[in-house]
Amino acid sequence: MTTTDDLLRSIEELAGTASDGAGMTERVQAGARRVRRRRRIGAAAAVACLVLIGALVPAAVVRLRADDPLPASSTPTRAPGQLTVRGAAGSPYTWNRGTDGALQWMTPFRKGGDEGAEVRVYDPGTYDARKLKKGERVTVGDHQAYWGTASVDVHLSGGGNWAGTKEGVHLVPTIGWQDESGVWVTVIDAEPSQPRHQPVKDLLLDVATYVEIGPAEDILVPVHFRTIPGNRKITFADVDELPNTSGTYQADLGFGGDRTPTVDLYRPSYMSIDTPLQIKVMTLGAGWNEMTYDPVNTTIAGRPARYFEGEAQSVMVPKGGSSLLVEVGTCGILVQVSDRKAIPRSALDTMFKGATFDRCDSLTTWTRLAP
Amino acid sequence: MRFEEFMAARLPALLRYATALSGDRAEADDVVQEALTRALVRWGRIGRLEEPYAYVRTMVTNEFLSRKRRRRFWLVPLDRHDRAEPPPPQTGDDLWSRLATLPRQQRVVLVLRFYEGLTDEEIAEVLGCRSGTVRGYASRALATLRVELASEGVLS
Repeated sequence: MTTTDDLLRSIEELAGTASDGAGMTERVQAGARRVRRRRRIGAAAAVACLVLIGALVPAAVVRLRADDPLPASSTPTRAPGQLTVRGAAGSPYTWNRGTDGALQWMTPFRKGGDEGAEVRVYDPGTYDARKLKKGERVTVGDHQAYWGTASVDVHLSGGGNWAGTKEGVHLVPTIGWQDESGVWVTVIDAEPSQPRHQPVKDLLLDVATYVEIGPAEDILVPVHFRTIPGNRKITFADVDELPNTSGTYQADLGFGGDRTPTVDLYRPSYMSIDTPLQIKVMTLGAGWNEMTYDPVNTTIAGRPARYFEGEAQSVMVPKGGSSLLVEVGTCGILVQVSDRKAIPRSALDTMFKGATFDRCDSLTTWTRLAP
Repeated sequence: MRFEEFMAARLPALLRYATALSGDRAEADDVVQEALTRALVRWGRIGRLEEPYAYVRTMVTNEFLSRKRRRRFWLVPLDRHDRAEPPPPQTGDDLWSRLATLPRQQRVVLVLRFYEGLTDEEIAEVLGCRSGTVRGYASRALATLRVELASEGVLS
């Protein structure tokens, strides 16, 4: 006979096999700020799934479902790897910015923590504003905006579940307006289940006041490759503009892949870029050390490197893909390939030949991606 | 309470709890790490709660429940010790192997009930459901495990 005592003993024995958590404090600190930016609250509405985008290249063609209203503009305002959203001068916030296909995001931080708001900017033709336009008209700075709710797809992987929020399409408080460039700017309550120190409308209005849309700017990164395998375009960038708690920086870049903004687009795990070629660059330190337990086993463009096509001890190797780790100066560079038939080792060699690198312990030397 | 103090005091308990839920030490580490990462982002609020541990434990629970729907692809730094992960404990009646076959919600209910000592009402709060649902989970789980209920007020 099995008793509840047996059950408790079994659970206790299992719990006793837990790890000692070595290194977790550092990993948690390094990841904390990144979680906010990777919160994948998806495309503005499930309807937006019907919108197809070719906006990843400058000559993008935006196609809409026949019965969707045509947006005010469908002219791309930026090239891949560029941002048009930025924080206004004099803002009390500091920001982290990134882009994933047709989406730009910007997360405001104030001293003492982030506020749970998120700025999301949709390229022309990729946002269905009909729901939002049913909201209240408000004034933000010198322009009109809408205050209401908008459908967003909240994904567990980005943190939407931790306070009881369920996965799925949710209506979240939103302030939004269409910029004269044609982009839709939204400021959303990214933590709708959280208690607030001030009315959420006040928070979003305050954040919105300091959002600017300007000329396209290149994302600044510490690595510059003359050649990207297959001439893939950059489709994802999440670049630290503030140091992590440990004083380190990190840039995550994705190249190629379909970044059509379906509901699933913004679903990936906060550790997932989910593009055929992924490049993570970080300041050498604890985070990098955790990935380099395996010994150096090769060279890449003359530099000592770790390259894996199968199992590795300290870094995950995508099935059928590869992982490459290279140290250059103050930078640790991890390259992950989802399909090594499409991007073989030789292509990575070519990519690193002629590449240039900035310092990774300071943002001041970072420059645009292309050398 | 500062986050660092919380980590120092509660990380082992959270890891044990997650390991009891998951049965997989590596997954438990992932679950706890992700929950704590988000907790740190919000620590200004969580740290002022009367019971931060209960709140973070709920985060860990939700993270555990959500993971089956998740893809992991990018980068998972593995701890140096992962390769030496000990095997699951061997109980006389192979109880754990049966426990591992339970749906995750049922496992959560059992671990919270027996290991964490929560009442059905408290478990219901963690899971965001009614206490009757909790009792249903517990009943089905224990029936599956063929656990004799007489010695405990399991279905309180």
